[in-house]
Amino acid sequence: MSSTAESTSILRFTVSDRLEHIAQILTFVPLAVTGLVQRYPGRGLSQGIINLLGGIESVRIIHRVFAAILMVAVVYHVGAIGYRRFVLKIPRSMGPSRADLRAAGQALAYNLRRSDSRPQQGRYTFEEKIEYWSLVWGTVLMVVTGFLLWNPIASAKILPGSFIPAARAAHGGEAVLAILAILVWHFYHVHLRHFNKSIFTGYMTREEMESDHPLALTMELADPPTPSELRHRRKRYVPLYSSGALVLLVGIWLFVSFEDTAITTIEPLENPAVYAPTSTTIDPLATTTTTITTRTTLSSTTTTVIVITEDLTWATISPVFEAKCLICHGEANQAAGLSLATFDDAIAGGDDGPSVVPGDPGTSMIVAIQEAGGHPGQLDANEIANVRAWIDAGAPEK
Amino acid sequence: MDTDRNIDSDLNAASADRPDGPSRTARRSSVQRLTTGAFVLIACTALLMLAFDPGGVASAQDDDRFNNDTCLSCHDVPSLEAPLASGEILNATVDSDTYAASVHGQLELPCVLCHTDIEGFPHPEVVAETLRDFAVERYTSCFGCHQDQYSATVDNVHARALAEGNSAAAICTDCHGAHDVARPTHNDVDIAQTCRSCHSEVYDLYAGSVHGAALTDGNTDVPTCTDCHGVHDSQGPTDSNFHLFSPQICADCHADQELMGKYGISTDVFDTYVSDFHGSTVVLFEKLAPDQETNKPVCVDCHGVHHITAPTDPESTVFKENLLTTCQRCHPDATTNFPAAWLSHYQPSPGKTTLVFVVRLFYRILIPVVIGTMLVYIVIDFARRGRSHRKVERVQHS
Repeated sequence: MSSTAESTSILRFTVSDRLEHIAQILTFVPLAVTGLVQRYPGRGLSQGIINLLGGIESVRIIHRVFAAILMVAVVYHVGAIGYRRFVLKIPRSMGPSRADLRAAGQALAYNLRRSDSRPQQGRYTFEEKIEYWSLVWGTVLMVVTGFLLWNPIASAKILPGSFIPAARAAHGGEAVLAILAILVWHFYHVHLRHFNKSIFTGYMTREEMESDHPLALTMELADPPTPSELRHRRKRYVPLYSSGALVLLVGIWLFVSFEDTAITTIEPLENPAVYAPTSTTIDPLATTTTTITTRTTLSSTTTTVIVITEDLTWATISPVFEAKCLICHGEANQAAGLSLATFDDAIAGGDDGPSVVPGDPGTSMIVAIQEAGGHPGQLDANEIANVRAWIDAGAPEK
Repeated sequence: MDTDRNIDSDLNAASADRPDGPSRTARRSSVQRLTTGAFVLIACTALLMLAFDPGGVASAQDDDRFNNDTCLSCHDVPSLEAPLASGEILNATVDSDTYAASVHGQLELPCVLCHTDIEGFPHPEVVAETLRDFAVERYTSCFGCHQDQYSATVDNVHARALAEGNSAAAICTDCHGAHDVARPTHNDVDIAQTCRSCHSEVYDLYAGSVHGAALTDGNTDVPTCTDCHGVHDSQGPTDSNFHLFSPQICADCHADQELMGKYGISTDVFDTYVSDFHGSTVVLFEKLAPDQETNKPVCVDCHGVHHITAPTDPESTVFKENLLTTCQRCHPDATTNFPAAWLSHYQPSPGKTTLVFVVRLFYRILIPVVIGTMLVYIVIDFARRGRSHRKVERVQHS
């Protein structure tokens, strides 16, 4: 900035105003980003941002933290306005008036070449007032609907339940409106049309002021208050505002901590025993159990109906041995030195003694072992009875 | 027995090649020959290992090992019992008719195909202390022929329970049977009954549900156990993933217009869930944090799991009068109005949830009107300024 420009610079925004604007940027942008991704969670870009911010739950926390900061900034803003109005006694300059309507008409007429002169506007143009009051309206609506979304249980105690999804629709709709308005209206007027840096520097050149705010220059300023007046008004204002601000801050605290909306872990709706078998014993051969049981019962009942073959000779009895014994007690293997392959082998017996003692089933090992049960190649009851009868009959070969 | 013959001839071929197998294969040039050679080499190695097995019984009984008659000559006998360390009795009887009727029996598969530890008699000592351990030791041999199905089970809920030491967890034979293994019927009722044998409490809940009752009536459109839990890759509620992704399972049927059309059920249920707070959170977790739990409910958390009933059923957890109780499971402080905060899967319309419909409509009109007006104003302003700028430049130049 050149020295000449500096000399003609006019203070437009105090440090406090400028800080408020920065606070507005620093809350609006994160709120917009974390809000939009929640409104459009299905979009790839949203999911990318959500992922970057550490997941949806953390996005929601960020959104709420900035919402709380915004609300505190609003409390400050109310205080700043009050200070200007009641302590510094600076006349209202943002209030909408009939003059704004005329200015809008004049601007349109000028732009449409119906008129050659631009509207003569004061400290705030009608374009700026539109933006400010939109922001005020939008913030109020977002705070109210935000409360309903943040505290749905408490809200539904007073309001109908459908207000909550309605609040959600309004919160999202208003957000889109606000973001688009900023991108269209604000960006056009202070960035594209003419980059107006005064909200950061605090100053505007006389030329700029003459072009956009001519009435602010010609407006008669009241004499600044004397230090004693100032002290006196401050003494009244500060406690008044402080107590008001305290109430508002407590309100914000309640807003953010009003309720625990939901529990953290969902309990299952059903709690059946996971393992509740229909049968109490586990059998490795599971499904064959039934068959085995049936057969055991059958064989135990068949003991009463055993049919002893009439003509018991080696020729009629040896097929039983062939079928069940020869694998181990055949000519090839002769387990325990026993072979039942031929009549002579059977009579000869094995290492442990004679397997067949003609006429004496009681001392015949084949009977003793088979009747004890559990021998590999176990004979069934009927077969054992036949072997016993054959030995009893003197174990005839023919 | 065809299979026996095949295996026998393979073995014979292998033993014929044994003396100079490796050197002869090395000389063969074609890839095919090499592959055959490699097979023969492996077979020879296996045979050599058998031959030098200190047990030594196998070599003398090569033929018999693959002959089921050999096994059944002992094992077809009832009460072939051995006591285990646990005091349980291992009944090693196999009913030859049962086996013959099984799918393996029909294919005349040799016993040793599954009982890979048996190489002759005497058999290796039984080390299992319980009947269950005995079964668990053996089911792994299913992998030999059913690699795909077996591999699908290795990370399923049963396999993990088994690995954690729960020996009651289902193994192949618990569902398919052992000696009576049958070709799967793929019948929904059979499947439910199979699961019931261990999960009877869950089955009882299911049988009383809208799905289970319909299945009992012969309607196979409804899900049976495996439709939701998977077949070999079965998953359960202990997998956080399963709970999180379960809405997709429900959507498989409930977003299917053709299927739901048959029963006059709305297919909006999934979309309306996803567009609301609970559903959009769950979908974001699925996409961005699939391994994390969320406290937002999925379908079954409100509607019921196995005992799910139609929302028109007075027993239903989402029946209008029961809704508050259901909400209170997660929102303990909820009161009468609260359930109406949820739109009950309805798309907002003038008839249903009018307020939400009106708010949405309001913003659908307000946003384009406001932003459109702003744009029109800006375009006119920009055009006028552009022209007057050029005019100024022209004046300056001249």
